[in-house]
Amino acid sequence: MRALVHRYQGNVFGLCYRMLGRYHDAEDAAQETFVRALRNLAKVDLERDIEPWLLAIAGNCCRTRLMQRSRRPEYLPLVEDVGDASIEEEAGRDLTEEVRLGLGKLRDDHRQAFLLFHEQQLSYIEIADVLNVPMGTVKTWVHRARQTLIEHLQQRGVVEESRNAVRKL
Amino acid sequence: MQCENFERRLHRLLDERRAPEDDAELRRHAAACNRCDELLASQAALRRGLVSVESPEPPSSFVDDVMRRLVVGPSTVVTQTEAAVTTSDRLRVKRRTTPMSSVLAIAAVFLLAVASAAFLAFRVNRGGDALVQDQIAIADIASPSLPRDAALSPAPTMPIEKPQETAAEASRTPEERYAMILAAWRTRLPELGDTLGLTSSDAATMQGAFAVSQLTDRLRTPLAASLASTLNVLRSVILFSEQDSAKPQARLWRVEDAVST
Repeated sequence: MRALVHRYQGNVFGLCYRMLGRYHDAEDAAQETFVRALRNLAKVDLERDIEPWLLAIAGNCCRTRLMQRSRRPEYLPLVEDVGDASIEEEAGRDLTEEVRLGLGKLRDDHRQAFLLFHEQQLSYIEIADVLNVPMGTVKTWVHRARQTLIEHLQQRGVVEESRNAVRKL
Repeated sequence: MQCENFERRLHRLLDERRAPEDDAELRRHAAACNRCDELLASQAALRRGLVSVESPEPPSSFVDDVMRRLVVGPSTVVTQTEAAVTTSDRLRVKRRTTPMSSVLAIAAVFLLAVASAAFLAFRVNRGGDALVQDQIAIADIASPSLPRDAALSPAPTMPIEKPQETAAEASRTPEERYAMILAAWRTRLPELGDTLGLTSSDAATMQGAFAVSQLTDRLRTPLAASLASTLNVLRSVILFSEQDSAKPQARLWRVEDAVST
């Protein structure tokens, strides 16, 4: 059991962090993922890769927390309350920060499908199995998420550097 | 290549996890189309950004935390993660502990009941054939105005009225006592029957039932005593309820009491 947790903790925690955006929430969701998985280990076909199943549980845990967040008022840091434009503009110049912001704006199911594909390197078939939706739906979600992120980066003006880099190739 | 085909090819390459900016055909079209050039640069930025967005590592105690949570639930999660434990998790722990406390509470109540029953049985045995009645005076019932530490004064011991066996009673045989009880029943039953609404056939049946002479000596004396007590209690209740005076006091009854009244 310990070996299983040790082996997959990075990917599960990473997905939870991407989905939830907060370290403690991600830690709690990842812990709950492994607890649920270990309690149901007897029902799993161990011949198959266990990672998609773990990520599916993690996705469910994260979606539950996101729904709970949407139902109750949330604490926001003072900086976000006052909307300091200069800080926001400065952060907008940072590509990494902009990608992170863009991910936060995606729909939950779109973000999960996108991260499972691009970060966890799962195939469309595996993602469809994980999310229990048709493969065509997964493709649509990933494409829409990608399109939204590209538009976000274009609006934020962080593409120029990449354009120059591509031209140099 | 048209812009529509450019987009389709771009997404296909991304689905295949290949870098579109390395595709010569796409680069050729992008060099001639500003919109597609920006699209190609944007997806390259996105891919770079995704790589640079590093996920933080889970804490070093993560495996131990999972194992602890698996065994004893989320309440023992280390301080760092305690704030993230959800309300549903806490309720789950509470539910898990409830059955044990319920069992302990039921066991305590059961033991208390058994101890009370044993104590009462001991008191009754000690009393023997005497009727022991503890009473608490009305004045001893604490009123709200009394201080909290006010103690109850001991209840006065009620003298137990024990009938003195007369010489004539002592000299009677059990058969004679039984015959006297039957005679008393025969005398009083018609009167009681009227009061209780018994018919004449009911009274006759009762008389016949008590006129069994095959009873052994061991049964006759207690039966006679119980009959006498029953008869007098019935009569007392009826008479006192009609007169609305003080209630009859509990006391032992002798055979003579039943016969003489």
